[in-house]
Parts: sequence; C-alpha cells; structure tokens
Amino acid sequence: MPSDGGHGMTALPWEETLWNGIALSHPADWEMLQFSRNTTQGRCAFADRHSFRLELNWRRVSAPPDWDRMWSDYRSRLLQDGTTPGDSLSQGEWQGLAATGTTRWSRYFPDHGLLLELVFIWPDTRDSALESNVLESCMPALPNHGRAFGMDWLTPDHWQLAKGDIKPAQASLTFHDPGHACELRLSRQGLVSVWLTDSLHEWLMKQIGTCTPISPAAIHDEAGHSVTRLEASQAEPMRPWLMRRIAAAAWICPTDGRLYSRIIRKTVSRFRQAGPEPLPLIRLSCCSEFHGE
Amino acid sequence: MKITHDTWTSMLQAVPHHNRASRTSTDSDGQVTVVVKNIRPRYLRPPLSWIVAYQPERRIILDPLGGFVWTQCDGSRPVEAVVDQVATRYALTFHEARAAVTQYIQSLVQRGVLALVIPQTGACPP
Repeated sequence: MPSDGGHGMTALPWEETLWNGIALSHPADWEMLQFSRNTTQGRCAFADRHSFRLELNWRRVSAPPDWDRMWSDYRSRLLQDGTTPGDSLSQGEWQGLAATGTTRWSRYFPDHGLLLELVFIWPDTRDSALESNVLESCMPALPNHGRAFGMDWLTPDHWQLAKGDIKPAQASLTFHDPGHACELRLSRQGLVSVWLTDSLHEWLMKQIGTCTPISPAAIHDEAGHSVTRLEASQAEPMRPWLMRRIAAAAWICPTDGRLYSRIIRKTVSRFRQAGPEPLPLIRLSCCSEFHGE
Repeated sequence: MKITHDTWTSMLQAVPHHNRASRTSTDSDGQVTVVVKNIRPRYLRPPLSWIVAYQPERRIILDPLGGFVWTQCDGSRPVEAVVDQVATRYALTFHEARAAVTQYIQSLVQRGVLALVIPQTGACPP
C-alpha cells in the first residue's frame, strides 16, 4: 500500500513494511526479495529494479552489544575484503560506518531486547536524506501485525509464521498458534483474469479440499469488495475423534485486481458438547478502502 | 555483508529476438502458436527412424501471458522494457513481472524459438 508524503526531500512514493515485529519504511519500488521467518534472528533484503539496496538484520538479545568491538570487527572485515572503511556516522540512537558503496547502521532497542542493523547499498551516490528517512522509520512494532507482499494482516498474539511461499504474483503465508491447533493461510494472487475460471466459492472449495459446508456460502459487500465467506468442517486424517472447523473468505480487490484469501483451520473435538468454539480474531486487508476480513 | 550483486541486470539489458525460421499464427481466440523447424538428429537413421518418426516441425502453443510476451520480444526492445509492459498490462510489481518474464523467455530460448542478444558493452554491476 504505497503512500506519499512525510519523507522530506525524497519525493518518491514510500511504503511501510512490517515484518517479524519490525517496522520499516522504504521507497515503494524497493521490493522484499529475501526474507527470514525466524523472529529471534534473521534478515530481509530489498531490491530496486536493478540491484539490492537494503539489508535488514535483526537479533533478539538481552543486553546491548559491545559497540566498540562490533565496529572494530566490522572495520577489520572490510579491510580483509579490500574495502577501505570510511567515517563513523551517527543519527539519533543509530550508529553507523560508511564504506565504499555501502553504509551500515546499528541500533539496540533495550525495551524490546532487539538489535537492528541496516546495510544500505549505494550503486551510484549515497542519498543521505533517503537513508535518514529509512533509519527514522525502522523500529520495533507489534509482533502480530504484518504488512508485506501487498497484504496487511493481524493475527492473535504469539502466532508463528510457519511457512512463506512467495512466487511471482502468488504470495502465501501460513501461521500456526503455539499449540498447533489452529492454522491460518493468507494468500494474495495476481493475474486473476488469466487463471481464475471458477466462481470465488468454487475456488475456495478447491483450496479447502473435501469438506462438509456448515452453512451456505455468503457474499458480503463492503467498500466495493465482494467477499465470499464459507464455513465448513473437515475430517482430521488418522484421528477420527477430532475434526477441523474451517472458516474461509476470498475476494478480488477492485484496486489492484488481486485475489485475496484467508483460510482458518481449527482442530476441535467431535464430542464437544458446548457448541462450536469461537475462531480466533484474524484480519487480512488489501487496500486502504477495505479494513479487512 | 551477505548480499552480493545479482546478475539480473545483464538479463534485463539483453534484447530478445524471434527465431527467423519460426512461423507465428494467431487463431480466432487470440491463442498464439509458434512453429519452428527441428534439426534431424544424426542418429535418426534406419532402422531407428522406422520406429521413431522424425518430426520436421515443432508447435509451441502459448498461453495468453506467453502470447503477449512473444509479441513483445520482436527484437526492438530489451527484456527490461518487456518486463515493464507485462507489469503494466497485468498489474504486477516489477520483480513479479521480471521473474515471470525471464523464466518464460528462458524456456522459449531452450525450445529454440527465441534468441537473446546480450550487449557487449553493457554496464553490468560488478
């Protein structure tokens, strides 16, 4: 969801990415091409149309690093690679080091026990204003709120991203609750006019597999988005005393023409007497007009 | 630093050309078919050719996206411009279109219907 404004000298459209509890704004044409699912330690890399431009590294640690040693090690590594380290840099709480073609910044967030590192790659000349805007925007965020690959989602606390399957025009993210009783699959698919020949209801049924509908599919209109909702139950393989309760929704966003879907599968006992358990609160939204399903 | 400069830029600068020996036809539904001649393999001689028939031509039927890519790969523009055209037409991001188009072009090159001309003096990143 590109946005504009608030970024001073750089008059490009900007976009905010929320990933693994970290918020980061960057030019909208920088796309996340590499990502880690690990919340403790990982990295993401963003590229413009010609080359990688930014690497984000994170590590959850209980104490700040020994900065002097960290920068000294980094200087040594640069020298070993034949690169001359440049000046030390600072912006607010961020500390950095310039080198030929790159700048590296690091900051520790004590309240979150989070060490962040940003590495900018400058194919031409360094853009200090752009760099400053990215640094200002990079901070801890809600761990259960994500925004990436054109989707904006909110999951219950402590849910883990178990799988990310990102292909051209086809992004799918699978989450699990801590007890693995619930599975959530969010997807966003492009080129809909090329491959979608069924109705959304038929497409959803194919995604779910063999199941028994609990109630007839309902179509709900909101802000120009026609959302098909479906509730069903499904047998649990190898465990006949259990069943899966499924709640699914799909729609085509009129803004970007992509198909969004959200499928929740919750494993429950067949013999539960007190009626169906409530499904967790989950939100997936596609654009600023539609607040999500 | 774990990031290394990727080599996609050189692919973007390459110019795709149709195989001059290929023939293209478009049916009433807009489906594009490309026909290209096969080279007769040396080993395909009697008695093997009595069993395995030689196909003098190969027909490649392109899906709508492939048909659009094929029409754009006429030697007049680099892959980057083809990617931009596909991204605009199908509302994709640049890298989504790049991945789809370069994969498709590679498959057409492997099938012998497309050739890529890579500029000698291209300013590829290190």
